Parts: sequence; structure tokens; C-alpha cells
Amino acid sequence: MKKYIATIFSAVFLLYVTGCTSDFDEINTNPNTLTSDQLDASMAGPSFANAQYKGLGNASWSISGDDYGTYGLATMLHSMLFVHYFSCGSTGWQTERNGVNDGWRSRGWLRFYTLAVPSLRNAYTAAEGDEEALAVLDIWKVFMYHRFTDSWGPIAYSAAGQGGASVAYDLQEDMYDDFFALLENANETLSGLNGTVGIFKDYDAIYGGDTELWRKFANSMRLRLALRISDIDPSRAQEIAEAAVAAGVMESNDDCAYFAVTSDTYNNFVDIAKYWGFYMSADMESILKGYNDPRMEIWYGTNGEGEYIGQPNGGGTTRDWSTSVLSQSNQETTFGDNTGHDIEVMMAAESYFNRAECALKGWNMSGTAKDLYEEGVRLSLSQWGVSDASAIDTYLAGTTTAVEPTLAVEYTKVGGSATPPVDVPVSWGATEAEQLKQIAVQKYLALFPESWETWADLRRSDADILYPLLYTEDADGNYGVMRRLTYVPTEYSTNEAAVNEAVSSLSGGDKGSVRVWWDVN
Amino acid sequence: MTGQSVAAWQLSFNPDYAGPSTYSMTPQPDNAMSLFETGYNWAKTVTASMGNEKIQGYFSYTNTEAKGIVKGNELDRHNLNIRLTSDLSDKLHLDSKANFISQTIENPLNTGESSVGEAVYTMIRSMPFEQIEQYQYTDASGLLQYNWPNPTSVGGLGGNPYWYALNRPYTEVRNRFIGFASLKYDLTKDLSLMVRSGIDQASNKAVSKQYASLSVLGNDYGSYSETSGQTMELNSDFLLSYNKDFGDFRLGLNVGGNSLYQKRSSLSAGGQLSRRNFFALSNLQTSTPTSSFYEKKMNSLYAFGQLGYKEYLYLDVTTRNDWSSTLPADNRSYFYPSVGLTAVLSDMFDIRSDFLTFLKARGSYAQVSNDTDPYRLSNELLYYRFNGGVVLSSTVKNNENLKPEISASTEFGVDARFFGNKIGLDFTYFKTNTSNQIFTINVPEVSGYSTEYVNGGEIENKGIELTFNADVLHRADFSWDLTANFAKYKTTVLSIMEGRDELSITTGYERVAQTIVKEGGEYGDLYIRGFARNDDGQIIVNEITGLPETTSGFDVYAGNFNPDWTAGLTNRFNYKNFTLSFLVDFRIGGEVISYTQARMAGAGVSDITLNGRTDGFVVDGVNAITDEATGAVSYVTNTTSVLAEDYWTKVASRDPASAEDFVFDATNIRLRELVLGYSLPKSVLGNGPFAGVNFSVVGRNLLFFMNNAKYFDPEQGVGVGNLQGIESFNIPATREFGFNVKLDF
Repeated sequence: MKKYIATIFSAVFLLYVTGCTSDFDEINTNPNTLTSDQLDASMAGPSFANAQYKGLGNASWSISGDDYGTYGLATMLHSMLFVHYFSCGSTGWQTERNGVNDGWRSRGWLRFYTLAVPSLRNAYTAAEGDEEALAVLDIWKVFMYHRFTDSWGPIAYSAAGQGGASVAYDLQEDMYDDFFALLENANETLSGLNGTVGIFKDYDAIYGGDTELWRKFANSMRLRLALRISDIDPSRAQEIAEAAVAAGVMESNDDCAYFAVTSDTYNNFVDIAKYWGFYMSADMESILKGYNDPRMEIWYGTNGEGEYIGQPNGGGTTRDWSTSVLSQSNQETTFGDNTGHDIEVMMAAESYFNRAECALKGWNMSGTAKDLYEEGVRLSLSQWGVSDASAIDTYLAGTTTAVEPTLAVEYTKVGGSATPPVDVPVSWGATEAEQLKQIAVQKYLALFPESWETWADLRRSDADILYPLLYTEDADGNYGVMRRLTYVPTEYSTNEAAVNEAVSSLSGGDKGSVRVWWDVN
Repeated sequence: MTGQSVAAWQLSFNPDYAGPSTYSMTPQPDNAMSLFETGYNWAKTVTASMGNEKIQGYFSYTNTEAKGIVKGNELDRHNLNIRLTSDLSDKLHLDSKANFISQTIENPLNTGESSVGEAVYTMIRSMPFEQIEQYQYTDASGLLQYNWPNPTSVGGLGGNPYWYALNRPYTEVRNRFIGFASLKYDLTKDLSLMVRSGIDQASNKAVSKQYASLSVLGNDYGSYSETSGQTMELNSDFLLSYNKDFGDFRLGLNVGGNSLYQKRSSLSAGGQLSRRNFFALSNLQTSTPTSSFYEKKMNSLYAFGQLGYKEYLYLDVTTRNDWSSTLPADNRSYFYPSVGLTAVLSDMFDIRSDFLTFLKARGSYAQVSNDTDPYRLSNELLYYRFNGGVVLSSTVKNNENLKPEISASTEFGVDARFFGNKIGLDFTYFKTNTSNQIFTINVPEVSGYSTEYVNGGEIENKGIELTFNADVLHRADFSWDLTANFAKYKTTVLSIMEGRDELSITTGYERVAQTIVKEGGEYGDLYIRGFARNDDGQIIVNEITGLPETTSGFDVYAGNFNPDWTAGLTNRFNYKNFTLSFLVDFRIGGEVISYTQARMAGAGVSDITLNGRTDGFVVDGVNAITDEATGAVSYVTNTTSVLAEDYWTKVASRDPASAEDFVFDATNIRLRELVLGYSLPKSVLGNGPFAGVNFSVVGRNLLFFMNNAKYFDPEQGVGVGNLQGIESFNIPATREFGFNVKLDF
């Protein structure tokens, strides 16, 4: 017995003293996750896939850590309301009245920087050495960040997503320099290939890795961004815009960038518009009815009485109408199923409107402003399924202007005017001022429902095409379009020096009424 | 709500509706409370012990059935316990135990949003209870539907609480086995070796069903999920003990080691259904099972000893070294000691008297180190199979340099007894400093991470505890004992980490309050959004709307969730075969924030919203007037009135703009327990089958002598750990009455 006990004792003792930690590293390795040293070329596509979906502000339950609410809070309750594509049924959502909600805005910021940006970084790491893949990533990087800087002004860019207790912000003008350089370089790298980026082929939900389509996307982005800086730096804008058009921008609807949805990466807009109580705006009713625009029935559904009625944006906490009279998104067909409608990223029609506006400035856009404008309208209508050429011609010849929306009296009740701001018809006008406004209205319609670009473009163009809000909660009493988003509270609490420096570069401080760098005139 | 006749809302959609076609709109003061039923807890226990000099056994079995105050909330538990001790030889002793517990819980009560509580508290006050009871109906196409006004509109406030309680069935089954076997061998008279091994293993299964309802669930198919998990803990240790007396000295020396292995894994799948209300995994529209895993090992070696002198002076020393798999190689081995001295002063100085019966003083210093959870050392990538594959980074930045946490505590105590043990007093003072704590801090999100694991923080917790007991009266047939205890402690945040002087230790997405630790502040400080105030502390009110301005962040201090002090007082009376005891608890100080009260105010269903419903009321505050020329701001008394609806929907929305109206003092004094017992006298039992028969009636949580939170019990369901002091849609506190019968054979 003694011997037996002694054996147990020495065995146990040996266990503790020798080699007791040899399996610890293995035990402390999570079998359910990968580590960063496993980011090889086979991971480039899966990383890019997430950077695309999250970079578009979308999310699904299929991936832990986010859900479609981010799109609802960050996009639908901000840019979508700012540009009056929709209004909301809830009377308590202050962002519809240019008010501020820290939580909603923060949600978009958080998911962009902690999900989209790291995925893009992972994709860069995994695609190392593949020049064409890196060029595509550069284009996507510009797309992701331009929305953010256009919304906020200075943001973390060159130092973003790399850890650190303090992360400096870049000035918007510096980011734009880099955007143009990246896009020009990508155009060169992808020129003449007419091929496919192999590692993205099965994962790129926008173009399946097609180099030529990405190249046109890059040039269309150059054109978009050149027009954006056309007030702050007209000569440079002209140079870049002309170079972009010469290099080749999107020209047909086959070039359009859609994110192809699946049941795991579905279209958040469809669900949020359906479930969160979003209604057609009075502005949309006014324009679409006035123009007899065939897109009205495609985009919106009727109320219970078979009518299309839009709601004035910025209603107060008590309202003289019921949401039951209002139109919602078209949940019967176009926006019925979250896997049934791909996400609009950038459409070919936009490039035509951008070229039309630049042509009005006298820049070389390979076409006249009128022709480019009309081609833009044609592409937009056909993009939404209006295929009858005579219907399109009729639309283009339209001489009617916007009409008073059903609830127009609400504007007069708060001391405003019921007269629709859109006083131009579809048919090409005689004066440059009229033509400029026509381009703005048609681009406003053609960008639907991608509201971030619409918001940036309305701020740049200052086109007077929307009714003012009924009520405002903006600190400076702004009833018009918000000029920017304010920085999120977590940046003040965790990255204070950087955000304060960014704020000091803004003329007017961290306010929603302050203009970003390119927003002059 | 003036008794006007309105059409019954079910008419338009419920084909089987047989009730009146109109009803009168009148207040239904009890419609919410009628939901609750009397719960019960019915426990049956049999115990037996048997044996002889060589072998002893113990057996017990308990069955508990319980039902809560909300329909569907039930529990059934079986607990079997067997213990066997035996002397295998003169020197070899066996001790073993097996404990098996099988438990099923149906529909545990949730708090917070989307709970039964939310539906009950925010309920429309005009809805007659008979209509609430019918929580479902079958529509014209034969589908089961949610019965509530606008049954297919998505979202919205509150809802039918019965649907919440009964049509989201959740079952949790847990089978747990705990057992150990220990052998002790006496090598010599003074030296023994113990070897022991134990296991604690459990398997769990949770099944959740949610019936199709656009309004409640957001989909018209239903949803289903299953989660199965296993947890296992293996614990093996040995201890070599040496005990010897040397004259006036007594020495005890022990050397031992322990190996702890923990493993947990779970597998879950769930989602929206395809065929309506058919609850099976095969019927999920899309199914990606997910698994979680946790594995950790810790080895320890330790030695401890006691040196005693003349039975009145004792020195205790312990040393321990742990090796943990959760820490990096350089830091995974860590050592911590303790030392303590105890003196029975009454014996040491021979000062016992009729007055002083016993006096003992003790003092100790101890260090304890802790490791962390697995997988916190290197950054992780998550991979998902769909769309050909998606990979992303975890938003938590792990830390390859983590060190063990250290806490060092000093304790002094005195135990004094007087008048032949009739009065006793025990006093303890303690101070614990914890440093190198492992926690996550928020990092700039632009860094790509939202949180990062760090070592940091120094927290000091000090306090006193006092226990007093007295035999107040002792007569042949009657006695009265009294025990009182008192505790007071304070936890101060000395530092957080370099470059950080505050840290939110809640998740960051709270709707009503956050727990924020600030350097120099106290642990448990609560912060809310509140009214914007001028330098004189007056509320700034918008002169046009009459609404108060509010702060944008959680930057208004609301109080601390810890009490200033707590105390308890137990009195026990014996008279012949009767016993009566009662316990009064005191909890003085501290704050609790009620999200329930905020949301009820926002919904306009609580009495604080009565004022100013039609004519408005004037918020007590000032209007800020800015001089256009100079920009100087001056303040004038606010005279603009505001309607109650506008005020409360702003202040008490889902994310309350100001929670100042919902901060309550948690001070309360309650009758925690009252027990009345009776034992049948021996004369009655006689030579019958029973050795003893005992009856008792127990009442718990019977009444408040004082409750400053007035609407709710400030101690119920207000969270644990870092998230305390926030009450959110708790089911009302209950009074419990119990009746115990104990039969000894």
C-alpha cells in the first residue's frame, strides 16, 4: 500500500513540476477563429466581400456583431431623411428635423471603422503583390472613405484601422489629393487588361473582379469627385474631369455598379423602408406627379385608397394627418423582398448628369450638355425598367413642372410657401440657370435611393429643389439641407486630441451647420 | 376616457369574436395587475443517514416544483445526493460524494425591453382585462394571429403581455453531476497524504420558440432556436500534511498541489422559420450553426502552515504559485503569499472575568492573484461560410502582454464575548487594493477596434463589519436572542490607467444610465443624461416650446448604486415548543434608476404625467436670452407652458433625454423574514413512529417600514456586477408565505 501511495504521489508531483505548461499555448488557441498570420491570398476575396457590404453601410444577422439596424440608424435616419427621399412616421425621430442623435450617428461611425475598415485592411494584406487586386482595393477604398469625409470633413484616413491609443485625422483636401492619385493610378494599372482579378472573381459582389468595369467605376468616381471640388478649385476640377471622361467613364447600364444581394447579405434598405415606418416625401410626390414620372409607381406604393401621397419632411411631434394616408416604398414589387433588389452603388446615369453639368461650364465632356442630360434621363428610366422608347421620349418632352403635394397646406400652416421649389420641366430649358436646375433635379431622381451621394451633391450644388422642413431642431435654425454630421461622443472620450485638432480646422467648429472643405459658394 | 362608446377593435379582424360590438371607454385601473397570479414553490425532501464504524452513508432527495406569478413560468428540479465515507483500513480513509441534479425551467422571466414587464407596465389603461386575456385568435385563413389593436403593424409600444408570456415559449433543461473521491492515507501518526479528484459536469439544452407575429416578432413565419452546451470542470489535488506538538508549540505543515481543467462548449442554431409556426431545425429558412468553446487549465503548488503556542497564539503563513494557460508564457507563472496572526488575548493575559468571557484579536495580510479568460492574447479573425466565404476581424484588440491581476488585503478583527457568552461582539476592518486588473477599455474606434484588453486600474475597497449578539432573556420556558449586524464599505477608484481618468464599465449602449468609473470617484457611480443647467443650477428651458434643454451625453451624476451602509436585526423568541423569529433589514443610501418609470411616463400611463395634459404646465427653469450685439447670455424665469405629452415624450423617450425624474433613493427598511415554528412535544409523540415533528410558517419580504423608491422594490432585479442600479421592467416584487413540515423518523 505504501508503495502504491508513493507512486501516486510522485506521479502527481511530477505532473506539476515538470512540463506542466507544455500544452498551454495549444489550450489557449481558439479553435473557432483564425489568426492574422493566416491572411493569405485565399483570404483576399472573403475580406473584400465584407469590406464591400459593410462599406455600403449594410449588415445582416449572418455575421455576428452587426445587423441591419446600422443601415436604419446611420443611413435611413440621416442622409435618407436629409435629402427627402423619405420621411418618417415616428414623430420622435429628431434627425428628420435636423436634430442630433448621438447613438444613431455613432452606430454608423463604429461599424465603418471597426468592421469595414479592418476588412479592407485585411484584404490589402491578403492581396499583397497582386497589383490588379490592389488597384481594385484602392478604388473601393476611395469609395468607402469619400462618403465619410463628405459627411464629416476631416476624418481618420491614413492612420485608420491600425490600432493605437490616439489616431490622427486627415484634412479633407489631403484625402482628396490621395483619392485622385489612387484613382488615376488604378485606371493606369487596369487599362487594357479586359480581364478578371482572379482572387476576387467569386467574392466581388459588384463586378465579379472585372477589371474593365472597375476601371470605368474608377473614372466615374474621378468625375464625381472632380465635380465636387469644382467650387473650391475649378481649374483642377476641370483637368481631372476631362481626364476621367477621356479615360472612359460608365456609359451604359451594363456598367452600373450594383452589389448583388444574397440571403446572407441582403438589401437593408428594403427591410428598413418596410418595417421602420418610412413614407414617401412630399417633395417626391410633388416632382414625380408633376413630371408624370413613371418611376413613382416603381419606387412607391399606394395608400389604402390607391393614392400616392407624400409627407412633408420635418413634421412636429403632433401632426394634423395620419400616416395611414401616406405612401410607403413599393413593397409589392420593386422593394418587396430584401433579396430581390440589388444595392445601388453607382449608376451610369450619374456620370451623364455630371458630364452635362461640366459641359455647361464649357469643359470638354465629349458631348453637349443637352445630349448628355437626355442620355442620363434615358439610362435612369431604363435602369428602373421603363423600356418603352416612346414613353421615354414623351417624358423627355415633358413641359409640366412639379405640382403642390397633397399635404402642401402644411407648409403654409407654419408660415411657408406651398409653391413647389422645382419650377423647371423635364424638357431641356433655354437658360443656363434653368438647365443647371434640370440637371440637379434629374440627378436627384437618378441617384435614388443612394442618399449619401445625393446629400453631398445637394450641398455642393446648393440646388433649390426641396421644400424646407416644417420644423427644425438644428441649433442654428437651419430648415434646409444639413451641411455635415458632428463628430461622435466616443471620439471625444477616446481620441480627444485628434478630434479637437480636426475641429479646429473647421471654420465654425463641430456643428451640423458648418461646411466641409469643398462646400463653398 | 369618459365612458364614450367605441367599436370593439377585434370586430374588423377576428372572425370568432363573440364579445360585444362596442365597449365603453373607461379607466381599467386593475387591467395590468390582473395578469399576475399567485405563485408557489413546493419542495419535498427525504434524507437518511446510516452506517457503522467502518462505513457511513448519507442520502437525500429533494423535488422542487415552482410556479411564478406570470403564467408559463415554471420550474421542476430533482436533486439526489449520496455520500459515502469509509475507513478502508486503519490508515486508509475514503470519502466520496455523488450529486445529481436535473432541472427544467420553463419561461424564465426576463426584464428589460421586449419583456412581459414592458407589455404590462406600458399597457393601455382603457383595455378591459377580458380582452387582454384573449391573446390570440384564428383568422379567416386559419392562421393563428396576435390579438391586439393593429395586429400586423410592426413594432410599437408595449403589447399583449399574455402573448409575450405564452407565445414565446422557452425551455431550459440542465442535468448536472458533481462528484469526488478522496483517499487519505496516514503515513505515520503525524504525517498524512490526501489525494482527491472531482468532476463537475453539466449538459444544458435551451429551446426557444417564437410564434409568428409581425407586431411582436417582426416576421410572419415564427422563429426557432436550439442551444446545446456542455460544461466540465476537473479538479485534482493532493495534500501532504504534518501535524505535531512540541511542548507548548503545535505545528501544522501542509504541501499540496492542484490541477484545474475547465472546458465549455456549445452549439446553437436558429432563425426564422419557413413553414409558419412549425418549430424544427429542419424548417429554418437559413441555418448556420454556431459553436463556442472555452478551455482553460491552471496548475498550482502551495504550502501553508500554522504554528500555535499554548492554544492562544497562532501564526498562519501560506504561499502559492499558479500556472495559468490564459496568460502569456512570460507571465503565466505567478506567486502570492499571506500571513496572519491570531491571539486569544483573554487567555494570553489571563484576564477572563465575570464581565469578560473571551477576547480574541486577529490581523492578516494576504495577496491573491488572478488570471483571465482564454483567448485574450492574440487578435482573432472570424470566418463565415456563406457567399463563398467572408472573413472579418474581431473588434476586440487582444493583448499579448497581459499580466495577472493582484489584490492585496489587510484585515484586523476583534471577537469579544461578555457575561459568560451572553453578549458577543465581532468587529472586522478590511482594506483591499486591487491592481493590474484585466478589463477592456474603449479605444478610438478609428483605430479599427472598439475595445482593447489592458492591465490597469487600482481600486481600494475598505470597510467595517460588526456583529452583535445577545441572549436578552433566558428562562425555563422562554428565551429571547438578538443578533444585529452592520456593514459599511466604500470602494474608491485610485487610478484607471495612464492617459485615462475615466472609463465606462457598462456596454456603452445603455438607454438610461451608465456606470462610469472616474479617477477619485467611487465604484458604482451612475451617470445619466439630464437637464441642461446654467451656472446657478437652474434648468434651461426653450422659451418657444417650453421644453427643457437636455445634455447630449451621460454626463450628469445621478448617484451611486452601492448603499451607504446596511444592517440587519434578527430577534428570536422561544416559548415552550413555539419559536418566533423575525429579521429586519436596513439598506440606507444609494440610488436606483427606473427605466420602467421613465417609459411609463413616456407612454403617459403613470400618475406623474397627469399634470398639464390639457392646459400644459410651466417647467421651473429659465430661458436663455442671447444679446445679439454682445453675445452675452442672460437668464429670465421661464413662463412658457408645455403640454404634458410634449414634455414627457421628450424627456422620457426610449432613450430618455433626461432621466433626472427617474432617479430614486434606494433607502429601504423591510421585514425580510418572519418564522413561527412549533414542535410537537415528546409527550405527544410518545412511542409513535416519529422522533420529531416540526411545523413552521415562514413569511418573506413581508412589508416595508420605509421605501423611498415608493413605486418598486429597489433591491429587486437591479443587476449584478458592473451593471447595477438600473431597474428595467421588473415583474413586481412578491411577498412569500411558506409552510414547512419536518418529520424525523
